[in-house]
Amino acid sequence: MHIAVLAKVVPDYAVPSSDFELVDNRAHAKYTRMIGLYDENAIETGVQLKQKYGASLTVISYGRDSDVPVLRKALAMGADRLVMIQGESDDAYTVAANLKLAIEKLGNVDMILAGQQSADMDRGLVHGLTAGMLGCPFIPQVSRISSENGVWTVDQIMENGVREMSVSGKAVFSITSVPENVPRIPAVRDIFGAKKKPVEKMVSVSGNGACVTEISVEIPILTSVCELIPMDDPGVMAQTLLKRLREARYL
Amino acid sequence: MDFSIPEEYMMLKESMREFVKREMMPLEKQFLERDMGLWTTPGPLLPKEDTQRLLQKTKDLGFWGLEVEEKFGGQGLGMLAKTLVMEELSRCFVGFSPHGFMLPPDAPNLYYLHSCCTPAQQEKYFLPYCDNKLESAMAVTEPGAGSDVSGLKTTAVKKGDKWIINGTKTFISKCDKDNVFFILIAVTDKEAQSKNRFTAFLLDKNTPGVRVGREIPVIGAMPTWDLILEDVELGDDAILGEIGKAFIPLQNRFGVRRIELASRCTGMAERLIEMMIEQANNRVTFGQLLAERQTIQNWIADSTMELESVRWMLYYASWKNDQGYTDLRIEGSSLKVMATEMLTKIADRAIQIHGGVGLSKELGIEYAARMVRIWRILEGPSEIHRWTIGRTILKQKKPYSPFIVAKES
Repeated sequence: MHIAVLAKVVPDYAVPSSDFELVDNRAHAKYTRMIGLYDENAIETGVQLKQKYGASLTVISYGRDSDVPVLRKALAMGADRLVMIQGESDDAYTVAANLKLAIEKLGNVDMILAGQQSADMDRGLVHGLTAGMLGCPFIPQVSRISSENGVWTVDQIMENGVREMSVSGKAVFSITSVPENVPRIPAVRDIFGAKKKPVEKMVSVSGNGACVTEISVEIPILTSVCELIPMDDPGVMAQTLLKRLREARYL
Repeated sequence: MDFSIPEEYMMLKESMREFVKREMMPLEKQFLERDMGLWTTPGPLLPKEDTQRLLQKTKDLGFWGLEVEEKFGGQGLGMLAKTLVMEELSRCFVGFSPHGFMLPPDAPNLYYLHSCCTPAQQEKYFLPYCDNKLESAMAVTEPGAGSDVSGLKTTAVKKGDKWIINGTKTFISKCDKDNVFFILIAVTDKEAQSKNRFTAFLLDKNTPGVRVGREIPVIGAMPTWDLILEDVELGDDAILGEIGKAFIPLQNRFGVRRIELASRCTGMAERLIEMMIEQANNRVTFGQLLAERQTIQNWIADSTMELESVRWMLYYASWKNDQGYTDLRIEGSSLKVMATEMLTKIADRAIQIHGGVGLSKELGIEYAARMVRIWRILEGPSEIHRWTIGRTILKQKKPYSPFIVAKES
């Protein structure tokens, strides 16, 4: 079994959006780069499946050469090798076209995992487009995967519950975050072993791109308005608080 | 000169940061509350089950013995790796305090034991020590002798084939542990010069004649006891190293110990600066954010400059140790003074910027302030270290040189 995980290196997602500084509609280069939040859940899922089924695990990323040291964390977590497609495009179609080529080049990939959305643009487009280009099924928001006789059984997290599905053949799953796939902390020996694992670099192709032009990117300024409720009478205070919460549709 | 951090070391740091965030930060509140009851309810600051869990998880992740050679069950990564990890660990009050959680084994004692133990002592003490089965404590200080060991009065007198030991030690740590052994320093030749006067003995806590006295309440978490020795009988097999030469192997132990202490201070200083930034950017007084006031800006600037000047000295000393230089007396003493005085100042500013809340037991800054006050005395007061540095440099008749030419690769 060969599992591929798609991972993107993004600017520090712990920085509050209100503090984010943009240059040419993208994050300023000063921010620390890290593997996307959901992509780490996908890598963790991949490592667990690797351990359970004795699979081999390849991480594929589209981005800059300087992202390789960041992606090596995935190798320390348990992936076997890294394919780095060198490219600068931010267009989801171009990225997906390149990922498709890399997957095809690997040849024997049985399953493709990806975080449900990137931690910078939050578009959630690339995995679905890649599946379309590969001509294989795409199931979003997956929380659990198991395999029996070449059939995958997956749990998909819906807004109000869980849907269990089965799919056979090559498929793309987008992985959501659940307590079972919290990314493991790399152990010391694995950190030092990561640099010995192979990193293959690929030159990207330009692709057709989408017929979409980005006009501007803006980060909304969040303001909080605080209302102090008088505490003279606890009963009246509780009633007022409940009324306000209902008005704001929190209850 | 290359100041870049190797990728693996950065990942090591991030691994520990994540571990601290997930496993140790949630213990902070309880830890600080427990500290308040330390003198009415003695015992460890961290519940036993939490300590066990942290020990097991850090062992599984390979964080034990980072700087310890592989032949002793360590990772053999050196002091710089340990320093970077210790800084992350010390960003949490639980990891900052040696009475919270520590990564075993305690390497300075380990190397001291290794350099002095006979094969039989290796079997009895050193190997279990490497595996965290035994704890060790130094028993040097006495009511009349601290930094100046010439005043030590505990005697070991040879009678037949036994050494008879009598005396009272004070400020001795770990006396509450069942599995502790002491490295006891006693006078074996009163008439000799001080460099030949003292001998180190390995002493089990349950040896007849050994009595643990009262626990000594101090300003913060430094659980220590009086240790009373009445006609304690030890054989020649208890002698650690050579008769009359107790202090020579200790020099190197102290150098590494001080580097480790400094990394506790820089780690905590970074956390306190983070807390100061948060407070300054959120607290409004008289219609203005604290961050917009010159005094506050100066505190942030001074704290940053002070922390970074210590931190790069710390990385340098750790690196130098990894290059095989074992005489780190000037670096160790400098760091001990610089780091503890730096954290004292930063902790004080951090309290001040938080006002009343800064003094509260909830926030923990006062815990760091009390702990670092202890460290300006423990392991040699600042004045002794300044004396050591000054005396060494004056004797050399030239300024200290930090330069080490890169080796041919």
